[in-house]
Amino acid sequence: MAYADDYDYIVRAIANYYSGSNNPIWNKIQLGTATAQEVSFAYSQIPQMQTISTPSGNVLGFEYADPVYLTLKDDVQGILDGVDSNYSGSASSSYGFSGNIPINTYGSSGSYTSGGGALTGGGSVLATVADRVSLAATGASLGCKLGAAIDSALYNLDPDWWDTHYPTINPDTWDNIATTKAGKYFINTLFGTDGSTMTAYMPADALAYTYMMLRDLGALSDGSPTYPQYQNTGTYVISSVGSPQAVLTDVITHITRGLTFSGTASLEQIVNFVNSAPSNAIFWIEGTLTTSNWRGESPLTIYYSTNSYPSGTSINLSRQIDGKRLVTYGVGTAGEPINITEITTSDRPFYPFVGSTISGSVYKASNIGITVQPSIPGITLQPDATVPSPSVVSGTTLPEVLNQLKQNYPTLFNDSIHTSTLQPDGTLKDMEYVPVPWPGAQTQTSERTTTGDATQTDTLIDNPTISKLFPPTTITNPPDTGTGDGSADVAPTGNASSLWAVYNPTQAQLNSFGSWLWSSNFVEQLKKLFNDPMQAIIGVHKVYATPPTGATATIVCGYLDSGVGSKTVSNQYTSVNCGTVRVNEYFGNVFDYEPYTRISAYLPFIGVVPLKVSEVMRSSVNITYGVDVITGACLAKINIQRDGAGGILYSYGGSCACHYPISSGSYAGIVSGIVSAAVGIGTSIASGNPAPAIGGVISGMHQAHTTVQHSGGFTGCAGAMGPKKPYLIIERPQTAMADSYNEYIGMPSNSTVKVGDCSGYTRFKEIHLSVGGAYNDELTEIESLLTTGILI
Amino acid sequence: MDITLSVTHSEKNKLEKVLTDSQVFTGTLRGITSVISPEIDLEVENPTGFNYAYIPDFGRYYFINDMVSIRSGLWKISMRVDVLMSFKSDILNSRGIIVDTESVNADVYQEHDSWNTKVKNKTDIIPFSNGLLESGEYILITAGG
Repeated sequence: MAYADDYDYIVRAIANYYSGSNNPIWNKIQLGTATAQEVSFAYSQIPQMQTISTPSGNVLGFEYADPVYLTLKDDVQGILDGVDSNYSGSASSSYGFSGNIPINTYGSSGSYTSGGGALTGGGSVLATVADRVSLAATGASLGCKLGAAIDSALYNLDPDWWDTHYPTINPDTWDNIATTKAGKYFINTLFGTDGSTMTAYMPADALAYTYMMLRDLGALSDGSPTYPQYQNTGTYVISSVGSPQAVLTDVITHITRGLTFSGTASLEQIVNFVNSAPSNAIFWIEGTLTTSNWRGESPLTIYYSTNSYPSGTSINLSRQIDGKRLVTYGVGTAGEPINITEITTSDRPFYPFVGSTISGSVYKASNIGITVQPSIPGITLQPDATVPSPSVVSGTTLPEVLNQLKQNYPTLFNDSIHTSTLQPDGTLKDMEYVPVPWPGAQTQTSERTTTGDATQTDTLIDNPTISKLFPPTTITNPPDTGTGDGSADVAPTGNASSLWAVYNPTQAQLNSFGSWLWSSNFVEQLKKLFNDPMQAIIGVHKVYATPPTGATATIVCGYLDSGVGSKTVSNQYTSVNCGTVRVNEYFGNVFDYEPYTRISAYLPFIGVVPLKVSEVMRSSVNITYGVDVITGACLAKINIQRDGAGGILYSYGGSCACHYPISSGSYAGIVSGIVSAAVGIGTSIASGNPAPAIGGVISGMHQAHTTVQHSGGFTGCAGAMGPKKPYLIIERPQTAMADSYNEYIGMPSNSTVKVGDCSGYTRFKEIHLSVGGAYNDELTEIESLLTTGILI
Repeated sequence: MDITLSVTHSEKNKLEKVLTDSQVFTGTLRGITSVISPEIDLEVENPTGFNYAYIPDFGRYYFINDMVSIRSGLWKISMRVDVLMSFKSDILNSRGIIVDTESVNADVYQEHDSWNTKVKNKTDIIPFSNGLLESGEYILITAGG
C-alpha cells in the first residue's frame, strides 16, 4: 500500500493540516530541531501556559493551565500567526483535534527532556512531544476504540523511565495514574481527555483516525513506531501450494510471527508435530503470555484435539484468558470450511482458525482468522473487542481506506461529526471528526461533553443549500481581524504589616483560639482584664480562594499571645485561574450572533452577566479571579483572545468572603449587609424588553423573544451557596429555514459582480445597464426586473 | 414578415428562455404596430399552442399575450416584448451590486429577510475547568503585628 512510511512526515503533515501556516518556530518544533529557548518562547506565547519554576527562579518546565482545550490550530497558531478566525470554521472546540502539552523537567544537561509517556525516550526535544503525543493519543485511543485496554504493564515496560519522569505515579492502577497531578497531565497529554472526570472523549479527524487505525492494525510499516500498535498475525489468502506441509508451514510462519520459541520447539518441530496429527486435528498453542515473555522468554506448548465438530455453527475469536491471548491454527475436514463453536475443556481452551479447506490432497488456507496481537507489552484486548481486519483495507489512499472501514465497520463511525468549513481560498471543505473514547471505557463511546446536541433537528441552516453555493470568487471587503493586546494584568502584592496580623487557621485552630479567648482560667482572665483581646480581633471570615501562606506562628491578639498555632497569610492578594474555553460558531452563519444567539457567563460570587456575542464568538475566553483575602473583595476578569489579539474585555467585582460574627455589633453589620443585598435582588424583575430591530429586517417572530435577567448580584455569604466554577450560558435559536430558499429568495450579498458571472436566482440593488438598441421603456423594464429578481 | 412561434415553459423572469416546438410563419403587420407590443395577423390553422414568439425584423422576443380568431385560418396575435431574452447578451455584460443571490458571493453573515427562527431555542453550557474553593479558608485578622 502506498502510505508514507516516514512518521515524522506524517506528523508534520497532520500538524500543518490543522495549523495551516508556516510559522518558523512551529515548523522547527515539528521537525524536532527547535532549541529549548525557542520552545520556551513558543510556549510562553500561549496564555494558558504557566511557567513552573523554583523559588530561586530556575525554570522547571511548563504547565498548561487548561488541561483539555489546547487546539493546535486555534490557540497556538492563533497566538503566533494571528490566524484569521473568520476562516476557522464552525466546529466546536470539543469537536476539534485537541492535545495537551505535558509537564517536562529541566535536565541537568541544560536541555529539556521529554515527558511524553512511553513513546519517546529521554533526549527528545520538548515540543515535538506535543505533536507526537497528540497523534499518539489518537493512536492509543483508537486502540481503545478497537478494544484495547491499557494496563499497568505499560509501566513495567520501562520502570526507570517512569520513576524518573513521573515519580508520583502509582504503577498498580491506571486510575491513580490518572488522578495524580503529574499523571493527570500525562493522561491528558496522552489521550487528550480529562483524567479527573474520565468522561470526556477526544474527537479525531477522520483521516488521522484512519491513519492511526492502519498503524494499529500493523498495515503500515515505518520501522519505528513510537506508540503501541497491533501486529497483524495473518489476514491474507494463501493459494494452494500443493502439499499440506507447505501450507501449514506458511500458515504457521505467519501466525507465529512475533513469537519466538525458545528451548522447547523450533519452527520445524512445530511443523512436524502438526503433520503427525490426524487430518481432522484442531491445534492450538497454549502458554503463559505475559508482557515480559512476549518475546519468547517462556516456552509455549502446542496441543491438538481430534474431536469432530458440526459445520455451520458460530465461532468466537475474541477469547481472553486472564488478559492474555492465545494463538491457534488448525485444519479441518476435507472439503468443508471450519466453522466450529468454541470448545472448552477444563484446561485446554482454544481458538479455532477458520477458512481452511482441504480438497483431496491439496490443502488450502484462506482468510486465516483474525488474531491481533499487541507488539508492545502492556496492551491487551478487551473482551468482545471490535478489531477491524486489515484485509478490508485494500485502498491505496487514506480516503479510500476510510470509506472501506466505514463500509465494513460502520459502528466504529457512529456519532461522527460533520461540518463544512470555509477555507481561505473560498472553497468549502467537509470535515469529519470521529469520537474516540476514554481508554478505560469499553468499546462504547463516552457521553458527549455538554456543548449541545449537534444533531438537533432544524438547527442547521440548510446544509444542502450551503453545499450548493459557489465558492466566492471575489471578496470585496476582506474581514478584518483584531489587533492589539490589553494592558498586562499584574497581580498586586501586599502582606500584613505591624499594624495587623493575618492568619489562615484551620477549623480546629480556630476552635482552640476561641477556647483561649473565653477561657475561665483565673490567671488568664486577669491578664485579659488589662488587655481585652476582643478589641484586638478585627475580623473573622471565610474566603473562597486559597490564600498565600507563609510560616506558622501563634495567634497574637494585641499584647496577648494565645499560644494557638496557625499559618500566616503572606500575601494579601491571590489569583485563581478558572481556565479557558473556546467559543466556536455552531451554525457558521448569522445565527451564531446577536440577536439570534445570546451568551452570558455565570461568575461565582457575582452572578450571571451578559457578554456581547460578537466579542466572544470565535474566541478563547479565560476567566481569572483576583482575590483580596483580607477583605474578601474579588474581581472576575474575562480575557477574550481572538486571532492573536485581545485582552480583558469584561471585569466584574464582588466579594467572595463570608464574614462571621464575633460580637453583637459585627453580627448586626453582617445581617444588614445581607438584607440590603436581598432587597436589591428582590427588586430585580424580568425586563421583558423585546430585542431591538436592526435595520428593520428582523422577523417579527424574533422580536417576540424577551430578555430576562438570569440572576441578581450575589456576593459574600449568598455567593458561598452557589456554584464555585464559572460557566458560559449560550442560548441558540432553532432555525426554520425553508428548503432551497436560496432558489426563491436568495442568500444575502452585497458585492459588485458582472451579471454573467451569476447563476440562479439573483436580485440586484443597483445596476449599470449598457444595452444597445433598447427603448427607454424597455430599459426601465429591464432595471425593474433585475431589481426584483431574475433567474440567470 | 416572418415570425417564429415557440413554446416555452421557462419562468417569466428567466433571462434565457428555453424554446421548443419552434415554427416559422409569415404574418402581416396590421396598420400601426408597436415594436414593444405588436399585433400581427397570422394565417395558420391553430396557433393556440404557442406562447412565445420571435420577430427577426424587430430583433426582439415576445410573450404572446392573446390570440384572437378573425376567421377560420386567420388569427390576430398580441405580444409584449421580453426584454430579458431580447437583450440577453448586453444584460449579461452589465455590472451591478447584488443584494440576493442563489450562489455567487453569498454572505451568510449578513442580515436578511429570509432568516427565520422558531420561538424555541436551546441552551448550551460550557463549564470552565477550575473555580474558587468549594469550601473556604478561614481568615483571622488581629490587631498588632
